Amino acid sequence: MPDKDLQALTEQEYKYGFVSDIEMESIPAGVNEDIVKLISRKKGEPEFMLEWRLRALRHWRTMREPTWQKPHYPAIDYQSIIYYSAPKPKKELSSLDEIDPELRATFEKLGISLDEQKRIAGVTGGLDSATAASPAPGVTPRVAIDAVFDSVSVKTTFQETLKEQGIIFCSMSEAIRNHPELVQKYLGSVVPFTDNYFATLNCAVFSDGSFCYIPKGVRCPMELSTYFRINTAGTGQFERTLIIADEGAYVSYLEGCTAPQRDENQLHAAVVELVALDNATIKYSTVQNWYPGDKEGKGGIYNFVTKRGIAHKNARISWTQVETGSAITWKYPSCVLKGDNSVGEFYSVAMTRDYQMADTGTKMIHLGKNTKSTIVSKGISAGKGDQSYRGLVKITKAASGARNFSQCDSLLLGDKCGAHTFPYIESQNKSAVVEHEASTSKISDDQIFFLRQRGLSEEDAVNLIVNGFCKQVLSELPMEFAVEAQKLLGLKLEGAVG
Amino acid sequence: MVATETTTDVLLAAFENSKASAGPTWLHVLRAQALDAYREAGLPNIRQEEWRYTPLTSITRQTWRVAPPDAGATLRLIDIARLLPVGMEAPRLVFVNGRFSTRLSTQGRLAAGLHYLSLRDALESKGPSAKVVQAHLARHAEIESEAFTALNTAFFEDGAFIHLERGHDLSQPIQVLHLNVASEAALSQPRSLVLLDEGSRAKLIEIHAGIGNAPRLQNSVCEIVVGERANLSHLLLQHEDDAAVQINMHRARVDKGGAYASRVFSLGAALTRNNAHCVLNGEGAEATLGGLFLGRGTQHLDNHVYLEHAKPLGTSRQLYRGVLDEKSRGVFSGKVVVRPGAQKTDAQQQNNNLLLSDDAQIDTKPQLEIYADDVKCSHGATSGKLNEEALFFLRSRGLAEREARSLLTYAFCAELIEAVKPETLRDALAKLVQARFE
Repeated sequence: MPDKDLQALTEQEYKYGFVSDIEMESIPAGVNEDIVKLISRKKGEPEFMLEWRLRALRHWRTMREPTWQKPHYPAIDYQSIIYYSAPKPKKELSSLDEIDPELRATFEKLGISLDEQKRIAGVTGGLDSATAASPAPGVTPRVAIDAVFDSVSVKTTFQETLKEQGIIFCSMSEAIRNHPELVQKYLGSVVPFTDNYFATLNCAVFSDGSFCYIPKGVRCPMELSTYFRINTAGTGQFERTLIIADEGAYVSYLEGCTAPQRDENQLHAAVVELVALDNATIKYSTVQNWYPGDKEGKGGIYNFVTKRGIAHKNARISWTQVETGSAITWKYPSCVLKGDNSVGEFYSVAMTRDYQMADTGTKMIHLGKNTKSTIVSKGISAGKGDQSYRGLVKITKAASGARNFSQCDSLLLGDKCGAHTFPYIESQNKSAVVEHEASTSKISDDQIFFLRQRGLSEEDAVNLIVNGFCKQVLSELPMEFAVEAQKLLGLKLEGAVG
Repeated sequence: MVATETTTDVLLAAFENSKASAGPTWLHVLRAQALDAYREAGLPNIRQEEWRYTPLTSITRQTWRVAPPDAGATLRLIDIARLLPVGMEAPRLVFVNGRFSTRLSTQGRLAAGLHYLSLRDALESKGPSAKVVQAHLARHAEIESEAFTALNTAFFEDGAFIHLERGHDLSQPIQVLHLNVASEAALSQPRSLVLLDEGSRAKLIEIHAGIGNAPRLQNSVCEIVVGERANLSHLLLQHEDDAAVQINMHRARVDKGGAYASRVFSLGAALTRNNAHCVLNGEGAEATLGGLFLGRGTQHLDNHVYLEHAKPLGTSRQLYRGVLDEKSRGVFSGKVVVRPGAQKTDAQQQNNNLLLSDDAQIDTKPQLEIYADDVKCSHGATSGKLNEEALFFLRSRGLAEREARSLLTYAFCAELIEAVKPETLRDALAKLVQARFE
């Protein structure tokens, strides 16, 4: 395969590297009890939240940063990070022209449509209630967006429409203020504050995030989405997402992220908790495109995220991720299959190039009877990129009839990259069936030759093969995200989306 | 760790009093380095990644002594005959508690080009063997990351030395029997060296067995060099009893165009840890590693494979199968590393496990670490039960349930057994395995 094709494929510039010149309000750098109290006060939190944060902080101080992972990075100075940064509050706006032109330009660059911009920027009397209530059949349902800018949620769209069905979709701060009973019951119930170094830090300092509650038996009528952006220099982003699908509910949730181009490494340590009660379904999709650093590996986001879901009886949790950004991606979206017959799924495409590193995978903990899990992981490594699949499938003694299938494939583009597979399988039940398979290879000259023979250009041939390699995962994404993912991978996906 | 420190002191004292301490200076230096490395690291524990599934409480809860020199003095040939699957005809080196027994061994009529003797004899010989030993002993197996290898290097007394000169082809397999005999808790640490020069071919059968009710810990290390275009077929049969703990390290280097095949059958011992480390160190080298582990009672069987493709055009195949019954626990960890520049590597790894009881457990961790792009690597791991449809099929043909289960379980193991040569050995193995499922 000619090198230029690979180059074209793997050397696209980072499009979202701009910085928005918006007035931000930040607090001093560092983490200590005063900072935690300050964040909690700024958010107007009830007492129980402050106590929880302080307990987490005290526990965090006793913990040591893990070192077992494959990607290594220079020591992080946790006292030089700014843990809270928010756009300065503005008066209520009445027309699009009044929006801070920088904020507006930011959303335009991010490719968020004008209608959505209006809502996000806080223009009153938008199209919200008028047209969103009854999407015409055949029209792609709109997406309700929660935009998180640095540390705080800027605006959540379609809230009114969702409210009619009893769905709560708001920023975490609002949820803490308006629905403390739900927050107190579920926050930390899946990822406790003692869980791991980065999650514990998150518990102490998290500034905002998204909260979502789908009541019993409700099928959420639109995709819910959070857009994360780190803007200010020297900040870390620590958001927290909590999604609760009550009995029989269904929700599909999307997450996207970008950040400006900076020489320094910025830490993103988020926590996502999913609770799928009996018969509920949660589909969680991520297209992660944080700034990956430049060609020499300078700068970029450290994306150290804890994501976990708990599935009760007959519930289903599905994680789909397309990981193309970040200097280091280090996360294992996991499912605790607690209830009988619950189902966990993990579909992942990870692409690393230049000096990017990824150590990602999943954990499937089978506790209930007849629980099922599927893992499909596709890694593409180019340039000096290095990536690992690391996963755990644990079948406990009680999980009779459990079933797991895992497939982890890696595609290597170039002789300086690395691809690794570290699956852990622990089975304590004789009736459980666990299968794992993995392969690593490059695009063969035969495949290219075959496609060239049929009249495809070299570039199209490469695209087609990579596209086919990822198809199984991309087809799990909701339509809008699949399109974004396709752009991100720099590929043509004719016929593969859906 | 108190217990192991005492063990180290006891071993050190015993070693200084033994004949083994009177080795050449170069060996003293190596032993001192190894002892330092062992003292530095201590015995592994489950907080270490490579030992997370294998707790060593059965080792750490007591102090181990070297068996007294007269242990096994009353053994007769008939006692060992039943332990040798290919019988008494083939040449054999017998080690009792890691010490060479001239009385029980028979070197037969030595084939041309073959040096086949105890390591101590080779070291003390005036011939060329002493030089060969110096060039290879403790030069291949790592001590920094392997505490047990360090311990063995520091204190080993004896072991097998097998050296086949260039171009020779051994028709008859050669046997090495490591026998552990103890009336009180005893440690043996055999150390072997197997060298095949350019273009030579050999078959080696290694047997680990034991006699007596006292706890026996065997910590063996075997360093193997397969020269250019040489071919070694290596089989290890371990049929110790429940009083035994077995820690084995096979460290093989395969040169250009060479082929190494290893099969490890672990049938006995309360705790077994087999480390198979293999480095494909020349272009076009080949490795076929395999193992069968059968657990019952509270047996713990751990197979750890490290396979490194250091040069291009290498081929490797791995097949490990475990059958775990009652409260036994199996562990498989296999790492394939493809170094930068080891292009056109073709590596396959497979681990399949069968759980026969609700209390059995398997932990498996197949791993690929790849730093070259033009490679074909794959691995697979499964854990499951007997196929209900196959059972039904056999039952509908009139087999009793017990028979049907036994047949299917044996069939699961058959792939590893059928490939064994010579046939006498294959049949003996088949019988041993079948007996386990009846």
